[in-house]
Amino acid sequence: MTIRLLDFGQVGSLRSLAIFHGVGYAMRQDTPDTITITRPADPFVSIGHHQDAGAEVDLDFCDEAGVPVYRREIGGGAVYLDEGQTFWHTIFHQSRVPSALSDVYARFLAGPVLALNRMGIPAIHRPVNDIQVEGRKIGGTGAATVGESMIVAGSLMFDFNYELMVRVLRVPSEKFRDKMYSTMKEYLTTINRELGEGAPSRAEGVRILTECFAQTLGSELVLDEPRPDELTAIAEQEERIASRDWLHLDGLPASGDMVKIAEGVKVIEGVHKAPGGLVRATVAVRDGLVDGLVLSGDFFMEPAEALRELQDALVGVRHDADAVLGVVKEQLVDVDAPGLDAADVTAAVMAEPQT
Amino acid sequence: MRRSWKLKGSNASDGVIVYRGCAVPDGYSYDVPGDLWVRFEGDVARMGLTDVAQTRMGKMVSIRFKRVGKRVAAGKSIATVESAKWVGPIHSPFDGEIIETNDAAFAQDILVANKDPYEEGWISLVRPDDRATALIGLLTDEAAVEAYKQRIDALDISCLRCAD
Repeated sequence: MTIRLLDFGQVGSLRSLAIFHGVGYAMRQDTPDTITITRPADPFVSIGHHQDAGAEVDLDFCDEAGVPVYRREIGGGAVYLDEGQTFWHTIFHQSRVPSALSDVYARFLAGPVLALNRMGIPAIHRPVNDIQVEGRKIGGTGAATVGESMIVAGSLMFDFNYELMVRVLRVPSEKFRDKMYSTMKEYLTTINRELGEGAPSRAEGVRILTECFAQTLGSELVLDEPRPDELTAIAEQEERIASRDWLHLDGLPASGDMVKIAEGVKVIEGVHKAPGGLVRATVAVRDGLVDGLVLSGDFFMEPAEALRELQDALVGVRHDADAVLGVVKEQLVDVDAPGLDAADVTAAVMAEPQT
Repeated sequence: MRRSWKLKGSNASDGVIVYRGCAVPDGYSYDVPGDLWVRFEGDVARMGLTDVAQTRMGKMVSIRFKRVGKRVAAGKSIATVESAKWVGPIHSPFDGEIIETNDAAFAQDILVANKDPYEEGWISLVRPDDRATALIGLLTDEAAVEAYKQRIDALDISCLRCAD
């Protein structure tokens, strides 16, 4: 069975989201498996399926800046996107994808990884769903069951606006934002950063990507046009994604009465040298509780999501050594972090505050 | 030929078939392709994810319930779940009204369905419009076990209670 390629080129940001949702919802058992390519013409913020828009994103800023915020049916976090990225979506009938998610990612990330390699970037697939270049992420990926389809989403990240990415997010303090910026700059790279002048054009990048999808999926990609029912479904999705009900799923306030970042928030930057590497912690403390936290450094932690889970688990915890140590110990059970124990992480998180 | 064996559940009259690590307890009706269990309790039906479902999605990170009082059509979602790597719906196998959701248990422990999919980790209580037609397409007893064995083999998976 051949795979259909729907290359929509550059489209409005809303449409770039509506396309993969619509093609996903329109898919039936007899619909050919499909790969869509889109590039947003204007910037937008995409929030994860289950995120609280007002809590994650500075909606006032986005409103003033004219940057729309849309919820996607893919998980993960809020992200600022613009024409620096070309999105790809593999939209296959769920009966024709592997049963284990790790296998789904292995199958559909092979093409994008090979494409980056062909461009001259030593990218690898780091399970479960990261594409990395020497330890740095190059774009994000996600998967969702949409109607009868399984969608895997990713992008060719030619460029990324780090400044606006950290600006659109709601964070505990400006200092926290600065730290997030430098962490992101360190751990997230782009095609243009890796290749400079040698980076392919967008069109060339798409050509390489589709070739690599064909090669890794063992099937020809046939350029096609969307069917009428798909166009209808895309239009329906545009309407839904643009609606306030869908953005504010729980009827949460859009903005205005969310808690603003107040005085009384301390930001602590701790560094601790553990046998396994340096641990850096940027901690926002409000009313004696951890309000936000970024951990970074050159230590190793497996599985990949353990670090994020550790950060998440510490939010809301009393900022004292015993409470932090207790949570860190609990989180590090079953985590492989050679030369790094709970006391090391705690030491970084509990460093003396700077004024 | 793979082995399956029978464990005794908490209720002495109920057994639990375990096949490739995946529990398929007695006393439930199953939407096997949907990886959903249904337990009829009078005129209402409690629903949840099977062991196969929780294994396939991995550790849950969030869940959003369709609200109490809402109507749900067959094949439409009673909830959407997000794991670390995936988002997807849980479908009702029949038309009905949502009368209770298990949001309190998930608020206390988001991994409750990973740890205990058939009891503590139930998702929603739905009143079917028509109890008789609600049973169509659901399997019980030996038929359910046989269908699930085939599905588990087709998926080539072994279940893990990943949050243990």
